[in-house]
Amino acid sequence: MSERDDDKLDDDKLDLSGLDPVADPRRLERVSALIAQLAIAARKRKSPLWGTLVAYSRWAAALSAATAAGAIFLALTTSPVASDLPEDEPADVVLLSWAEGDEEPDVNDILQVLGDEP
Amino acid sequence: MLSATEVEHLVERALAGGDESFSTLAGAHYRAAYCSALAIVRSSEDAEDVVQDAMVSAFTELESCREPAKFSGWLLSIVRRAALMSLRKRGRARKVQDAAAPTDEAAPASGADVLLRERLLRAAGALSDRQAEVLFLHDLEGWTHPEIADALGISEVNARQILFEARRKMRAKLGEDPAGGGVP
Repeated sequence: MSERDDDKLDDDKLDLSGLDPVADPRRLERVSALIAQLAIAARKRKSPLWGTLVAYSRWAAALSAATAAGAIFLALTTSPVASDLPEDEPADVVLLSWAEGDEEPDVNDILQVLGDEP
Repeated sequence: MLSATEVEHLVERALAGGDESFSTLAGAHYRAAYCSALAIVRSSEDAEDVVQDAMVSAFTELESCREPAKFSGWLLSIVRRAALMSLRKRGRARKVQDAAAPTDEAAPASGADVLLRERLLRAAGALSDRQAEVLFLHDLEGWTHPEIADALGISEVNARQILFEARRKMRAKLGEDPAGGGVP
């Protein structure tokens, strides 16, 4: 249909204003406000927990990101715990040194020397 | 009518907790929603009830509107469903009410207004739901053919054809109405 046909369609417009429920702008304002009020109340009733979570989601996301960044930073910058065990010494030598000395080995040292298999 | 972009922004603001956006969206869509409801229930009072319930439900479940730019079409589909359910629930025949009592205190209508409304609704009784919806959206709400086509999921050519036919039927009915006084 051409533009001229469109204009003709507009010229032929029927006056249906008698059906308009909100011809008075103040009534439209009141009705809209009422609908909004009912909807907002229903949304709050629907899921108060969800609403709270959404409200705090940004803070939660920021906190998680900061925690993750901190953990990564610590992992990268902290050197691994140095073992005070002599390297490449046979297990029996180490066990003997423990037996002769006064210091008791801790669990980690024992596992390192003997292996962690039963 | 608001542009699709404006509607999209309002929906996004409402979802983000901007309560004032609901009122703006309701004001911008109330008449269009009423047109869709009236095309099905054919009673002003019932149509207003349907629109209020449907809009509150739609706003309550606004997260289900996956394409905020298409909010208008989404809302009208909810209104149509609510109107059909209302018809079924009330068990009313699809006919124009013989006596439309002005029950709405907020909008007291004069006797002449009531008569005109009844006359228009009687004439609209000759239209299909779709014809009535297109006619009301175009001639009462003032939507353009692209807007109607987009909201109803039909082509613009189809919207124009439906409007043309609806007007022809309305004029014929209004012309033969003994309560007449000419075609508005």
